[in-house]
Amino acid sequence: MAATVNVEEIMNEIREDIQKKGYTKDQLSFEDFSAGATGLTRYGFDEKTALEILSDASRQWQLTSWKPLTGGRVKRFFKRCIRHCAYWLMDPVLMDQSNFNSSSVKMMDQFVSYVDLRNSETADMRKQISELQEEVNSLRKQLAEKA
Amino acid sequence: MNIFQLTPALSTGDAVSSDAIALEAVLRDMGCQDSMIYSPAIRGGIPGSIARDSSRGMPKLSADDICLYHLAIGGPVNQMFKEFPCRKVVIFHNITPAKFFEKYDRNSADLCRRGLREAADLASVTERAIAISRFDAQDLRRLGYTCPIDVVPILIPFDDYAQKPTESIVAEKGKKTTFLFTGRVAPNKCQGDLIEAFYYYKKNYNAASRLVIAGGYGSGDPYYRDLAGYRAALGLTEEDVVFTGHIAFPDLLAWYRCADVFLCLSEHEGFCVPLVEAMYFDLPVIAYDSSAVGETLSFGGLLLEDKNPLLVAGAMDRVVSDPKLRETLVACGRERLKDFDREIVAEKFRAVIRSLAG
Repeated sequence: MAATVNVEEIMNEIREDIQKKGYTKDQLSFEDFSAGATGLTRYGFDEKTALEILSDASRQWQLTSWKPLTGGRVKRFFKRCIRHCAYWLMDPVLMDQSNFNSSSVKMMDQFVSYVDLRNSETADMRKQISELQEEVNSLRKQLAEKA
Repeated sequence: MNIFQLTPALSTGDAVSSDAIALEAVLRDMGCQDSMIYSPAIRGGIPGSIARDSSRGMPKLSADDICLYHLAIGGPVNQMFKEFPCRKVVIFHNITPAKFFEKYDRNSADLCRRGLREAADLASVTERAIAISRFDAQDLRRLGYTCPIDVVPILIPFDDYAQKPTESIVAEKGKKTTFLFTGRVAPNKCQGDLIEAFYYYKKNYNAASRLVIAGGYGSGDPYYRDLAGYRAALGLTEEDVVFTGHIAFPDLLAWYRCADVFLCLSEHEGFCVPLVEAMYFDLPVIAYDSSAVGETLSFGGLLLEDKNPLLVAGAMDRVVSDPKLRETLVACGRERLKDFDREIVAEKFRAVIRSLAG
């Protein structure tokens, strides 16, 4: 091949240039911008997304210490021994966590049901307001004609 | 003895499917006229002469038959492959680590975790493996594969790239300096880092520029929504950072012809076909050296060890404004492209098949 690229040399030149011109970062990185975000709450409530998350959580709440062991026979043997020695400590903790997860999922379900209920009530009220508005407009028209 | 392929899904436009279809042509050229690709999820555009729906039944398999399975994700097809009575060969496309999806998509994270478990589980029944990169071969060893592993890159159908590109996109060439990345919008491909680097390029070097991210996404996709939010937070517009979404092939060809530089800051790739595509279209390539990216690009572009956005922006400016560097990178890309010549890769695959057939 005729020519190659000396990447190190080029990058050193770029670093010097950046320093000489005083360029600095003046914005959050993407990682910082999205840190702690699910990409959902930042953009407001979305019912479809809420139901999808609830559906996921309903399948994922229960924890278990059992996972298939990978590796060769010897490795699997030692992993099995460690698992056997630790299950008395891990299983009660996982059970407590699973109980909490179950309560959390039930609470999420309650919130979604609450949102449904409120949406339904709001729709009814909007309908009533619309009907009352029509009645008021009709009465105003009658008064105007009599006057 | 029959040889057939199995994939979790088959559609036009994804690397795994493209590889399967290209390998099918090689198998038939070798005389395997009964060869077929089986998949439970075949999407539109795949001819019935080369692919069959596996959920409607598989042919009767004998112990002599050979199944080439494209392993790329978790799912029931992995177990189906494990239970086949025939000889088993895994073609490993790599499985994205779950950590990239934890924040955005728990389902995908679970699928990836499941995929790695299932991949490890297949080690004991796999007679031979084909890895599409040395990086993937190392991952197979880590998963417990002790069988012979051959490295055969993805077979890329370069003839398809001679199709007519969309003229309206090509006509935009030269109006703004255009940086291109192709690949679906996904956390491991770090489109957020591309936007960040582009922000500093536009601010410090060249306001008449844009970044084009050519790849599919869902409008409700949390990662895409964060990217769009970040673009707005940086004061960039939809014309500055263009998300094309899933695009037709002529549009993709047009973007490659319209762009000035190909930029990739991905943190996990099993091979990265777009790098080879960029070299094919004589685009100078700037890429972050991670996973299989460094191996695929090699000397064919500017490989960065540090993706500090200021440095990346500086590199972007250097490639655009230094004609000699640009020419050298294009020449290096052309040289590297020779290693992915269809006949060279096809012969590597044929050698594996001949060795299996005895």
